[in-house]
Amino acid sequence: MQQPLRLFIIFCLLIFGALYYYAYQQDKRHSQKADVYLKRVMQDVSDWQPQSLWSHLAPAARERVSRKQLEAVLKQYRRLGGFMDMDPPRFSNLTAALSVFGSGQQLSYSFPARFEQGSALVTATLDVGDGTYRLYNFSIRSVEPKATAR
Amino acid sequence: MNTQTPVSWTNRWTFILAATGSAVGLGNIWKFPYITGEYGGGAFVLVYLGCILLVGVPVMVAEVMAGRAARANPVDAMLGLSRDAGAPAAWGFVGLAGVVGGLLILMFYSVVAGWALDYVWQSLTGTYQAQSADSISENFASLTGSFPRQWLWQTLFVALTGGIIAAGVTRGIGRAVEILMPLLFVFLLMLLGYSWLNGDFVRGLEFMYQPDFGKLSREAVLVAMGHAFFTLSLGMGAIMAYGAYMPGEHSVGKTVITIAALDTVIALVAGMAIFPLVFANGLEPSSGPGLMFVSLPIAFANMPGGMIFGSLFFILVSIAALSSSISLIEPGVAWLERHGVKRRWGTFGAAVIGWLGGTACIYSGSFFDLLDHITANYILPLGGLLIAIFVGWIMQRQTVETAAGFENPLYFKLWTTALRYIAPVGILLVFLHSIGLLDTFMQLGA
Repeated sequence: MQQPLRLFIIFCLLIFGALYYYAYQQDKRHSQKADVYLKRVMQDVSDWQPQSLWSHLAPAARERVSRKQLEAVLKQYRRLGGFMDMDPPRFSNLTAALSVFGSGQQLSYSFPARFEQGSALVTATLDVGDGTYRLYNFSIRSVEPKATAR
Repeated sequence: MNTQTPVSWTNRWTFILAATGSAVGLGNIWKFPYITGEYGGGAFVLVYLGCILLVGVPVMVAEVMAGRAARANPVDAMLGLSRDAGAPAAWGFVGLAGVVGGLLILMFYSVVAGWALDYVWQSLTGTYQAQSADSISENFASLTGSFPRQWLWQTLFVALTGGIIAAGVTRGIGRAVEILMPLLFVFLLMLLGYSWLNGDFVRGLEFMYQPDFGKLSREAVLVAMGHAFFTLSLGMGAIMAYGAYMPGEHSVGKTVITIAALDTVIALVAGMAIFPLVFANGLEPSSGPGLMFVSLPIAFANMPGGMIFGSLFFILVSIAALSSSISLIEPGVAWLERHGVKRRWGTFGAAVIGWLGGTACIYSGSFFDLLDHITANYILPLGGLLIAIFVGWIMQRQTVETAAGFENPLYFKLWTTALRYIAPVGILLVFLHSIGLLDTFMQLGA
């Protein structure tokens, strides 16, 4: 292989490797913190009262959602009952792509969670600011309603 | 300096099409129409045009001019021009950052372009036709969660990009843009016609163009300025590399104005084609992948001829992505070629690096995010800022005046004023805003 091409490839691979390592470390750090934060959020919001969810919302999310919309969404989630436990959150590729749009740093996670009345898939997008997390988006999709005793 | 490169575009219009192809990308389709609607419609368009004239065009003229004056790739161009100006060779790092930045962008861009190719296939096979909104939304989530599917399309996209570049500047890039760009215009006009006949055209026009000066906040001006800079593919050496092949006798200013006008018109027409379809289906206007891969398939699934026009739309998106990605690798390939590496081997090396990085982006969302973050927030704005400073303040005035080729001295004076004073301040504000420091500085100032 010719010298300039070899140099070019080595140089690019070094940058690429360093960035990949940095991204991996960041991911690990964020995932640990996000795990703790999301467990707390799930416990807090599963009383399904608008005030509980509102207190976790990022300012940008508060500007976009009204109390009325919050009530309507929570009414749907209420039937899941209280939060029991959840799997470790998985970083979602989808929101990383959304940041091509150039918004501030946001991390999106999805994870299966168990509630008193069944299982659900939770997706949460977090605004990261000064090392703290706030909810930017939050959705729950019920996947397995628990069989009710007759 | 001035070692003549043996290749050049066939004519001025090939250069215009290539540079327009580089500039017209996903941002024209999924970002500009939305921010226009969100930040004041017609009022925003006016501010945006001002920003294009005062920030985008001056820096683009500087890049084309530097490339043409040096007749070399961005690294050698910056090295040679700085030597001629008696400036430190460290200016060569600006060109090097552009070469690396282009490759880093290709890594995540090829993944998103791969999604567009997947949707071309889905449209042609009618996968999302007659599906519910929920299943269309889940379909996109399943694509972004599938490593093999994304990898297949990303690999195909990088291979297409590499194939065009390896064929050379005239026979490869030149011929490709001469076919792709007119095709893009035709498809866009066909979609516009479809949208006019089937969409809620009046509401779409109102959303995008009804002036609302009340929405012109500081944020809106910064968004306009940022988009005016990013939409023209500035700060990464792509335009400088293309400028190196520009025929010598034409005015850079007129050529760049044509490119900026085409880029803006395409973005405006894209919005007029997209939002009437969104509104006609009772969907909320949005931006980004959500608009392109969820809202629009929902709209096409519910409309007559949706399969055909959905296919046309995603082919159009793929063309826009391809014409941009070509310019991302060209600076690196041109550097290798200049240093004795055969073009096809240089392209192969650069494409393999881009492909490996894209594969890593599919595997790790954090890596994808990081590449997007550092290129958009650091490499491009700093690259653009330094090029503006270099051409505006460091290069010898006589060299700049000759290379820019302005026919009217008044235009040259206006351009240098914008390049030396307005563009650097504008880019600096965008940079500080994007890294979250603008508010901090303003608070300190207050």
